[in-house]
Amino acid sequence: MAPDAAFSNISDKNEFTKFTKFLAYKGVQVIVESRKGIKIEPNTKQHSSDTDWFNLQIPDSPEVNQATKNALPSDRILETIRSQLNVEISVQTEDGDEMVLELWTLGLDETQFDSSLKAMNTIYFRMGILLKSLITITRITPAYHLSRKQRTESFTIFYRVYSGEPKFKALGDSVKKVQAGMLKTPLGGLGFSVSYRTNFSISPNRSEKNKTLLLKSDHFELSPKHVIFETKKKKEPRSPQLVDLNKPLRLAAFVDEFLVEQVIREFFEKIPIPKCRVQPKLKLLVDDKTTLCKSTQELDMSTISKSPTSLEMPPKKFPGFRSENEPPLKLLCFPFADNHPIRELAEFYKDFFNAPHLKLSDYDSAFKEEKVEMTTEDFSEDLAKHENSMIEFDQLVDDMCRSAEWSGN
Amino acid sequence: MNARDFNFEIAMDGSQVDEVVASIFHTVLFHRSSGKFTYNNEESYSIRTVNYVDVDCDFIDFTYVCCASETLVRKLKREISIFSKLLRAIDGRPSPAKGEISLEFFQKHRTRWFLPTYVPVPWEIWRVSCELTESGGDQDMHKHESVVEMLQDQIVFITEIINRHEYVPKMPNRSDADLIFDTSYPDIQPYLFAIKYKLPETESNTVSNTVRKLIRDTLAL
Repeated sequence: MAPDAAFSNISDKNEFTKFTKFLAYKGVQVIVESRKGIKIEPNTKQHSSDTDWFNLQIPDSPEVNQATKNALPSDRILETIRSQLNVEISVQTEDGDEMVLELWTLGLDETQFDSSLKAMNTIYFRMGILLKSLITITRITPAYHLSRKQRTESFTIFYRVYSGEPKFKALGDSVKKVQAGMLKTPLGGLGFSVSYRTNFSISPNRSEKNKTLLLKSDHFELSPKHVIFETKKKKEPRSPQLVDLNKPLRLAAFVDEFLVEQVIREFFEKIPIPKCRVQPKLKLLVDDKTTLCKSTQELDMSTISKSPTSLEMPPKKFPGFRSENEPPLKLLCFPFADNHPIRELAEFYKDFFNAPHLKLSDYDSAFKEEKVEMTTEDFSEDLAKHENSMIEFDQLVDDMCRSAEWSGN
Repeated sequence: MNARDFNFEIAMDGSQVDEVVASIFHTVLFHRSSGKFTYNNEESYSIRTVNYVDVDCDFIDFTYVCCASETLVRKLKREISIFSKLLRAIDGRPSPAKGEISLEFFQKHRTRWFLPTYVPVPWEIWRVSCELTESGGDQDMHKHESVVEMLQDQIVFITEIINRHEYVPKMPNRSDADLIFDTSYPDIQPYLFAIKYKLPETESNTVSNTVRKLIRDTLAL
C-alpha cells in the first residue's frame, strides 16, 4: 500500500491529481484516435502550441472528452482510477453482429509505489513518456489493423468509456494482455494496459434464440495470418415466413412479367380503386419494371426518403446508429472521411446527424390536412363504387377460392 | 559508466532489414526525444510540443510511430540504408549473412576541465542483430508472421524498459544542453545518439567512417 503521507504537502497532491486527470483524458484521446482508422501523416495535424499537455500533440475531441468526463468525475479522480478507467473497443458489422475487440485500462496499483519520486515536474515529464508508450502500443494490437480497414469494409469500430471492474468476459476465452508501461509514483503504479481477444470466432449476441442466422464474414483479415472471423451457420428448418403486406412484392425467378402485368391490369379493371391512394402504385408497377425488381430494402428506403417523417429520422442503414436503449457506444468513423479536408465535412455531417430531432409542425400538419381533405372528398364516391361492385367482389372472391382449391388438389 | 545494453536478434528477409531496424530505432527515439527547449535563463526552460506520425511498412505488415521530424527520419533512413546495403551484399553461403546495427545514446564528458574537448560516454545501447534468411518457398508467410510478432514483442519490451526510468542524464543547464541533447534538430530535441554497425568483414565500423571511406575511394579514382 502507498503510504498515507505520500506527498509532503496538499498542493503537490492536488497537482498530482490534476496531472493524473489529464493523463486519463489524453490517454482516452490517444486510444480513440488510433481506432478512427486514420493514418497520422506529416502535416495532417493542426499547428501545435506550447501549451499542449505533456508536450505531445494529442487531439482534443470534445465528444471523447465528454465520454471520459462522464466516467471520471472531477471530484473523484484518484478513486475512480484506483477502481480502473476502461475504454472498450468493439466492432459491429452491417448486419448488426458485434464483438468486443479490446479493453484498455488505466489503473493505479497501490502496491507499486515509489515514495522517492517527489518532484512534480519529473512526474509530469514521465507521464509524457507513458503516453508515448501508449501511442506506440496502440499501433500493434489487431484492432489497429482492423480499424484501418473500416473505411473499405462493411464494419464500424465503436468505443465506450466506463469506470469500475473491466468486463473481460466480453473478450472471450482467449485473451492476451499487454502492459503499456507503468509509472511508479508516491501513490502507486500508474499505467495503461490492454487486453485483447486473440480468438476471432464469434457468435453474435442475439436476444432471440431463433435468430441465429449468422454470417460468414471474410472481411476481418487482420494480418497475413488471415485470421478470419468464423461464424457459425446453423442449418435449422426455417419457419414459414409471414408475408408483410406493407412491403412491395417481388417477382419470383422465371416469372413471365408481361403475363403478371396483364393479370394485374385486368384485376384493377375489374375492381374500382380509389384513385387518390392506389393509382400511383399501379402506375409504378406498369411504367417502371426495374423498380419492381429492386430489393425490398431498397424500396423501403425510397419510401422512407419520400416520407416527410424522414426529415426527423436518421437513415436506418447508417452505420453506427443505435437506439437510445443501447449502450452509449460512440461512432468513430465516417465512410467518406478519408483525409483531413474531408474530415471537416465529416464533422459537419456528424453535427448534423447528432442534432436534436426537429419537431414537424407546419409541414406535417399541412400534409395531414390535405390528406384528410382528399379522403373526405372522395369518400362518398368511393363508397358508392364499392357498393355497386359488391357482386363483382363476391364473384372474384369465389373465383379465387375455387382456383386455390384447384391448385391445392 | 556502465551503459544499459539491449540486444534483439531477428531473422529476416533482406528486403525487411530497413523497416525492421527503423521501427525499433524510431520507437526508441520517439521515447527519447522531447520538444525543443527554450531557455528563459540559465536554469529555467520551457519545452515545446512533439508531433508524431504513423509509418506503414511496405515489406512487413506493421505500423510504427515516429517523431514528426523530417530531419530525423532522413538521418535514420540514410544510416540504416548504408548498413542494409552492406549486409545484403554479403554472400550468404554457407552460413547466412549476419550483421549488427546499434543505436547508442551518450553524453559528452569533458576530457579536462580547461580544455574544450569531449569524450562520448554511452548510457544506453539498443542493438539489432540481423540474420538474413533466404526468401522464396512456402515458409515465407510463416517467416513474415514471426518477424511481425517479434517486432510487437520488442516494442512492448522497449516501452517497459523506458518506463523503468533507471538512468537518463539529468536535465542540463543552458550551457550544458549540447552535452546531453542534440540541439541541431529544428523540431525535436533527442538525447545525443549515434548509429554504429558491425559486419563480419568490417568489424567496428561506423556509418560515418564508411561514408568517409567511400568519399576517399571516390577521390582516389
